[in-house]
Amino acid sequence: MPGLHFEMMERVDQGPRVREKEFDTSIFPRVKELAEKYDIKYDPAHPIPDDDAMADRLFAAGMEYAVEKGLWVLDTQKVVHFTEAEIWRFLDNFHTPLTFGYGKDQVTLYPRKPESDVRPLVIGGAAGSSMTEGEIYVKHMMNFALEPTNDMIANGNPAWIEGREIRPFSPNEVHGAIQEVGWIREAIRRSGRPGMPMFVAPGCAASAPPAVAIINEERGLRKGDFMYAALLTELKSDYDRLIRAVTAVENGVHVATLLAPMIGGWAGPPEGAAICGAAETLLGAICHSSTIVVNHPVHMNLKNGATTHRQTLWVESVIGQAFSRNCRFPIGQNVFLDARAGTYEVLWEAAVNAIVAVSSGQHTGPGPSGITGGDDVDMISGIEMRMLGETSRAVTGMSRKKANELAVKCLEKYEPTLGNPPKGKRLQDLYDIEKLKVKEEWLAKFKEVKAQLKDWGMPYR
Amino acid sequence: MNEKEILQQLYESVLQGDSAKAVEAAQQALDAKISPLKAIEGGMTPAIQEVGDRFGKGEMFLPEMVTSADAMEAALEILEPFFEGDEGAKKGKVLIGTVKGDIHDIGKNIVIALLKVNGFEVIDIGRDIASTDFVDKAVDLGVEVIGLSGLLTTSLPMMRDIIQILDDDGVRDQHKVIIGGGPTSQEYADEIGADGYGETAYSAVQLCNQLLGIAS
Ligand code: B12
Repeated sequence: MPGLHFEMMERVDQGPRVREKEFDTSIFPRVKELAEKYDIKYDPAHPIPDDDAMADRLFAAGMEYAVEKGLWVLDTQKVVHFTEAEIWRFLDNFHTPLTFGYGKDQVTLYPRKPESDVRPLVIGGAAGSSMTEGEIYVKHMMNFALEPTNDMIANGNPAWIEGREIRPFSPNEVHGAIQEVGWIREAIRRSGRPGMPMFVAPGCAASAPPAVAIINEERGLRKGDFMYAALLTELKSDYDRLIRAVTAVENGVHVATLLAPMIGGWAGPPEGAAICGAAETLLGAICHSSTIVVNHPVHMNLKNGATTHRQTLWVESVIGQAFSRNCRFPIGQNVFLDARAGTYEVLWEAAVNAIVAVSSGQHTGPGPSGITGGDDVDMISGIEMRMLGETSRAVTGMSRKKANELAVKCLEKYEPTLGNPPKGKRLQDLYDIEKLKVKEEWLAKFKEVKAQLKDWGMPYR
Repeated sequence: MNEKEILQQLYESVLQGDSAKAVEAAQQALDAKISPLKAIEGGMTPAIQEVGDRFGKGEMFLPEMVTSADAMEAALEILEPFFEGDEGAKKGKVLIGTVKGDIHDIGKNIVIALLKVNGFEVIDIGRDIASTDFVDKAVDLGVEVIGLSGLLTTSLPMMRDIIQILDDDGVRDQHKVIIGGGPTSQEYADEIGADGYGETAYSAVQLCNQLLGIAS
């Protein structure tokens, strides 16, 4: 998408120096004022609010704050500003629908609204979870590619490469990123979906060079695939991330901008995080010439970065509603689960994220993910993705009122252990890994949760 | 203003994170011949404890805790020249940063704010910091504790490197090293010879107390 590529490049080193601490600590007082001015209120009983007027006010608040505050750049300590007219020039000219992938594996993204019966895209995959390299990595990716509800595949992170530690800015990191994407290509080919679009934030790319190195028609990211470029929390970026975006865009690779507005962080309570997140969505979309923004609110009390806290769900929902009602620019919902594969909790969490995303006008994923590293390598499977995908299809067209009811019921199931979830299992323990067949025990849990949801009124086919 | 009112001013300014007001109140305390120790214990410490409590309960947020800690620091700077003996002294110096290649800093910022609230002098060296910079700065500033934060798997080798450099430079025994963030664990801390691992910001405070022999 044509963003404001040159305006961004020109403005990253203009204007007065702003110190980081000053930039950070001035956010909270201001978003508090804006929350009052625009009457934005969090309500724990409604993680999916049914209030069009509030969604529209949130969009307006985000616009006002984006224009006023701008995006701080780490390398120069300057602030990039855009006018409201410039922001609208980007949003109004955003072209949809958009088709991704190749041949028979193509998928199309249509603009959606809250409660819309237009199918969301489901971006399924480990989205950064740690996994064993090599053949096991390929099996993980095949496991996701083989889920029929999966429209686009997202990568996991190899925990090491060629048996060696991965160091940022090292030759091994570049090698690792190239391997990683090569394995995803192999996995989609072996799964019979060679043209499946890829949505990649290479795990071996803490630095920009490996991200740049993976663009390669033959065995890497192709034109029309997606690459991640994150913003820094809150309302910040740096040359590293902007370089990824410029490289991707100029090579015909779509940019997905990830943002992580934090509840309890610089923006304070859920209302502040929502306003900040809305402003970040606009600034990130433009600075990165993005095709989609992926929203990942983080809660200060959840170390694993799960997106399933009640307050996080609310922030996801209101930002999704605000954007889908006021422009055509698509928002995806990062799905990060606190529990691990093999547990009931992980399934309830996957379901709730799908319910919130789809009923609020968004697309689902990338996800499910959440695993940080350490001992948790390989604790993810295609079954969570199946819950995410099938629930996304079922929720399509559902009213927010009904969706909220279901979300609250799911919350009751996992909220008591959120932040301290039961231990999970590895893919190797849950599946016959050679044949990639799920074992009966894990499948039975899936069926049980799905039956309960169906009983509550989730219209699964 | 009488003593009680001045202490109240100190209390409120720290609670509200108003540095200018805190500096003014500290000056008034000195003018009114209130001992620095009394100003701290009667006004500022209860305020910062309240901040810590409210933060723990989710009633106060990171930016408020940061500005309160700043107000406390600003007032302390005014009082410091008038300390007698070691009254009001900080518990110890802690240097904290996120290791090379890693830009995650939310957790690190929370750890810093909580350590400050708990009376440590904290130097924030930033994010994406070269291993040698950690060591050089720690030596220059004579810090007791080095805190390493890392959220990426690729951050783990950096932590080992830093301990190795401390060893190579012959200064390992002068600094305690603690680690935290997603991929780290007690086992990893043991493996690389770190002095402690903390799962949360609260455990970072406990660790520092423990390593410096301070009763919490
Ligand atoms: C928010 C976030 C981001 C934000 C960061 C914003 C910011 N300013 O920090 C953004 C969007 C920028 C981001 C970017 C990336 N991220 Co990120 N991110 C996260 C997320 C969702 C939450 C982290 C967080 O803030 N948690 C909340 C805080 C409060 O918790 P915490 O940091 O753990 O800190 C607590 C404790 O650990 C402890 N603690 C922390 N430090 C210390 C230090 C000491 C001494 C002690 C005692 C205690 C302690 O106390 C804190 C408070 O309780 C995690 C998910 C996860 N599972 O962790 C991924 C995650 C860490 N990111 C990940 C990745 C891969 C990336 C990217 C490389 C993506 C990419 N390809 O571009 C880039 C990083 C680039 C780089 N060079 O670093 C992966 C790492 C996988 C791995 N094992 O390597 C994770 C696990 C997500 C995933 N599964 O993919 N990310």
